[in-house]
Formats: sequence, C-alpha cells, structure tokens
Amino acid sequence: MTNNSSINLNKLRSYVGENETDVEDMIKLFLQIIPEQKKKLQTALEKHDWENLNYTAHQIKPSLDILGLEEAKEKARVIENLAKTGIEVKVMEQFVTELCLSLDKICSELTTTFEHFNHSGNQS
Amino acid sequence: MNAFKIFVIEDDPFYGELLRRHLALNPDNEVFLFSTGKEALANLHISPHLISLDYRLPDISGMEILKRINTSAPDIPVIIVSGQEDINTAVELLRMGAYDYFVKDDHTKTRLWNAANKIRENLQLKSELSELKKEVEKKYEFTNILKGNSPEMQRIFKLMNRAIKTNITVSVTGETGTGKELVAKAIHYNSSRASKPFVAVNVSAIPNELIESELFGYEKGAFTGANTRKIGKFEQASEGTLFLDEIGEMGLNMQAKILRVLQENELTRIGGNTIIKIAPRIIVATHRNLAEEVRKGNFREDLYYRILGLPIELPPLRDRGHDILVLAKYFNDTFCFENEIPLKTITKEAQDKLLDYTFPGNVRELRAVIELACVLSDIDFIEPSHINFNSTNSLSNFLLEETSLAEYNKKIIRYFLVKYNNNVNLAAKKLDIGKSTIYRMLKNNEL
Repeated sequence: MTNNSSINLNKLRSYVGENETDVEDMIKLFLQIIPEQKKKLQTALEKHDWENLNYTAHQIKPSLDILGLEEAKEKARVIENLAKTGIEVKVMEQFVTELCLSLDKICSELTTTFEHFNHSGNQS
Repeated sequence: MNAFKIFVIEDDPFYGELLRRHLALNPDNEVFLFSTGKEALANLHISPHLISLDYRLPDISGMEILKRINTSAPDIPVIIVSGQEDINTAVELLRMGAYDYFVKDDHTKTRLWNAANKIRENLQLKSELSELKKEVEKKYEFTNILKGNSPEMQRIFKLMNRAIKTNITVSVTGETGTGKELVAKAIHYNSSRASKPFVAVNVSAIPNELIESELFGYEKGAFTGANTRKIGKFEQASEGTLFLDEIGEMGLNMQAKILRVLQENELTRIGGNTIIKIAPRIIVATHRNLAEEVRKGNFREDLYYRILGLPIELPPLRDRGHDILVLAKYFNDTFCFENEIPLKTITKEAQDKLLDYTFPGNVRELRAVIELACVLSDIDFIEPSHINFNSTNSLSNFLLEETSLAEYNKKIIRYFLVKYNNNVNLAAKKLDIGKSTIYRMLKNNEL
C-alpha cells in the first residue's frame, strides 16, 4: 500500500507475487501504456469515432482496476457505455477530458511512488 | 510431463503481462503472451495446453478465434476472459465449446489459476492412464499371462488367437483356479477392443435381487433408494468386453432377461423407457458343465446356445504335465523379486513332490504352495519339506487322479506300509487283506 489515497498496489502484488521488482516492472509498463491510451481516447474523440472510443475505454478498465483506481475505472466505464449508445459530442468531450485529467494525475502520482520505490530501496 | 504451455491472448499490454506473470508463478507453466488473434493463431503449432482468450481483440473477434481453434486444435481448452458481463455471449461461447467464461473482476486471477491447475492435473492423469493402459496391454500378452508349454496350453493359445480376431462370444470352462478370468482379460486386451473397458461381473457374488440392477442399471426414482441414475455393467462394457463369471449360478428368471438383451443388443434401464443400444463382446465362464445343467433344467437351452460361441475348456493343472514346474519357477521368481529376497532354486526332490500332487485348486493352489515355500525356506533352495499341501478335501484330491483301481490299490498299500514303518503284518491287518498279497506285490516290484 502506498501513502497515496487513490492508488492501491495490493491487487497488483496478489497477481505478480511479493517480488518488488515485478511490481516496479508493472508500474513502468503502466506508465508507458497510459499516455498511449490517453492519446487514443483523444484522437477518437476528435474524429467522433465512437467505436474506437468505446474500445479504448473498455481496454483501459482492467489496468485501472488492478491498481485500485476505482474512480478512473468508473469514468472509463461511463465513456464505454456512452460511446456504445451515442451521445452529444460536448458531453462526451467533458467525460473524456475528465478521464484524461485523472490519468495524468495517476501517472504523476505513480511516478512519485516509483521514485519513492527507488529511493527507499524498494520498500513501499 | 514437460512444461504446461499456456497462451494468453490479450490486447491490453498491461493486463496481458499481468496474467502472464501471474500464471508463470507456477514453475510448471510456460506462458506465451499474444496481443492479437492472428499472432496467436500463427503460433498454434507450439501446441498450448490451455488458451486464455480475451473476447474483444482488435483484429479478430473472440468468437471467430474460438471457431478456428476448435477446427484446427479441438482438444485445447479455451477459457474466455472478458470485460463484458453479457450472459448471452457467454452462453453462446460455452455452447461453441469454450472451456469456461470468466469476467475480468477480482476473482479472475484465482479462477484462471485453479482452471490451469485442474487442466494440468487432468492432462497428467490422462498421460498416466495412457501409460498404464500400455502396461496393462503388455501385461496381458498371452505368454505373459498364461505360462506353460504343454500341448494342452498350446491348444488354448490357438483358440484364444481365433477369439481375438472377431467379436464372437467366448465361453470359458474349467475347474476353479485354472485361470478363466485371465483368459477373458487376455482375449480383451489383445483384441481391437483393448482401449475400451473390460467389465467383470461375478454372478455368484451378487444376490439375485440385485443382479438385474447391476447388469442393466436403473433410472433415478426407479425404486426406493434409487437416488441417482445408475449405469449398468452391460452399458459400461458397451464398446468393450463384459465378462460374466460363474454364469451357471444365474437364476432362470434372470437368464431369460439376459437372453433378450443378447439377442436384441439393446436394453432398458430399470424404471426407464428409453431403449439403449449396446454392443459389448461377451465372455462367460463357469466351473459347471452347462450342458449337464441344461439337461437338469437349471439352465435355459436357448441361452446355452447363445453364449456357447467359441468354447475354451481350460485343462486342470494335473493334466498339464511339466507346466507345473514352469509355473512353479515363475511363481518362485516373481515372489522372490517382489519381496526382494534372494532367488531360490526348487530342488529335484521338491519338483518331484510337486509333480506327484494333483492340485485340486489348480494354478491358484500351486501359487499359494510356492509362495509359502519361499517364506518357509531360509536357504537358497526349496526342498520337499518346504512344500506343503493343504487341500481342503484330500479324498477329492485323491480321487481326482482318476487312475485305475489297481493303481489306487497300490497307492493305498504303499501309504499304509509307510505309515506302519513297513510292518507288512500290521498293514495287512489294517487293510483286512492277506499279508501274502502285499508280499507278492513287493516281490513283483509293484509297490
């Protein structure tokens, strides 16, 4: 468990075991993937490509769930559903923007956590 | 077993890597991660033992991938791992042959782990079963199962060779302990039905009131206590062999029912209406003379002719000459090997003692005699003193020799002479014969 209120690494540890190197590897991967996913969300929104928006939001959910990021996961779920049913562009813009902001914040927090890992000799 | 190979097909690189690392925590697992359906299908030649498939992939739908796997490698279990809780999709995928359907939630990890363990254990069991089947087949090669070089046994081997080439019913007769069930097993495991079940039923061991349900099975609720459906022995052996041991002990009522099943090749479970087609090879055995039982009215004539098929009459051990010594050596070697004791040699005198005996219990008795001798002997030899016969009926044993009256007379007189320390007067007195009779026989070297 980190000191951060939104990120919970317990579930991640239950998957990869107690070896902190594995936990670090997975966080690195997450930090590498999320900006790409964010870009995909924004591109799909710009093109009003709801199918891709639905797909990307759907794809991102399990990763958020594993890190205990319930709020962000819920936002992704809403976008996935709205993109499936169709909605006004402005409303969709609002949801996607909110999710992207959340993702930015998560990445920032995780980067800090990750640095904390390294500085404290892999003790979280 | 080599590494248990698992394909994880998952388009989310984070979740895919997570599953890969999780499943790889078991050192027996070798996990391959693919992010597209095409990539996974192109690598099916690796022959995975399990596939974890994300239903929603960028290139090919989960349903389509499942179809293709079912076509090219139908034995590989595919577990769908999906973010969608759509019951209709899940049902459709399971109907198409998916092993299971897991929604991505907090339980996915445990479910996938348990499923992988279960599939791996099943594979190991299948592999062990296959090995055991091979061993059993080897064990039941004629020369492994039935020892003996006598002309009598060569005749039996010829008949068995004829039996294995067709599905003809075989009737095995012979005294107790001659190896009737072994012959039945040898025929089964050397026939084209070897990989199917060999089901043995000892008719005399099942009470009359239970035999019908044992043989034909019953439906749930057919009678008080029938809480579940039971598959009968005929059905269990449908593609294999049904061995009905001691069929001569079957009641007349049941004989009529068996006859119908054998004639029609179909049955109905007790309490059921459905007609079930069956095609087992039937081998029957009895120690009775069935023709005699037919004459006495104890056995149905029509059933007798139906089951007669290829008759194999096993000779009693006393008629197999030096097979007694072949078998004695085999039992001696086997017992010493299995019990990790030094191999013993059966002396000439002990061999003669064995050859002089009539073995009313046949091969089964010989085995018991030799095993006891191995235990009683503290030296590297089995001597006459180690050979003990404990026949349950010594008079029957004596009469089983079926020799002439003159030979019986000689044996009796010899027995009394030994018993009374060669005192001719006393032996003659006990037998109520003239002592001159004994002297004459001694003079003529008849004793």
